[in-house]
Amino acid sequence: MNLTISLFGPFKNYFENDSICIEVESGDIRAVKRALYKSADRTKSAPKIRSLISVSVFADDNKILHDNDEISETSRLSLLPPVCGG
Amino acid sequence: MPNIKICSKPIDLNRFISDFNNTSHGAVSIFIGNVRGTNNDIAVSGIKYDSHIPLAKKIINDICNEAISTIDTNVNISIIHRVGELKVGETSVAIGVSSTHREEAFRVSKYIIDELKKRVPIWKEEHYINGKKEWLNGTQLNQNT
Repeated sequence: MNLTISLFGPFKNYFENDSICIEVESGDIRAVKRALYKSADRTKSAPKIRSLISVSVFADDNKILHDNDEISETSRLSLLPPVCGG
Repeated sequence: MPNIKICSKPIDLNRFISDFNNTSHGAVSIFIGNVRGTNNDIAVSGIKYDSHIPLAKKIINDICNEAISTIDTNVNISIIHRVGELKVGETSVAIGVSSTHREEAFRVSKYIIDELKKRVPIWKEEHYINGKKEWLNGTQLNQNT
């Protein structure tokens, strides 16, 4: 399935848009992460993006998601790097 | 119910303070966070804030409810956090807590800002006088949150 993932904070340094479209094999967060790493490996900044993905979490509009949470093509996903508000 | 706003407009601090008008509360504690002119001795020109706004509001609400249930149920809470580009000296966050006595207002206010900094999906890109900019390091979010 095709998914659009909204990007925040330092991820915006590495992608032209505020979101990225990826193709995912199955329907859980682990699969999304694998697809994202694959997508990162096609860029110039692959090591930095991989490192940032490894310390980030996925979320929808209501909660942070766990690795075994199922997702669908209509899921509104975001990738959240370490936070520093205030 | 906590009053929570995340917005790009400058915060009207006079209005923010005057909105605390519960006459049964003798204490009002106001925390204001402003953009500093230096960080690690490097001159800062401003900060750009980014946020996952729907989730940020929900998590701030959760934090407020935790404070209310563990510290004092008889408090009024109001929080405004800005997003977008702020100059040095501008207020990025205002947290107001009123309560019957001062001890609870101080404790709730501190709890909220301490938790906000490590749990709420907000990010800062610091801009420097020398033209450089960088996203600041932060606290890794917990999947168990």
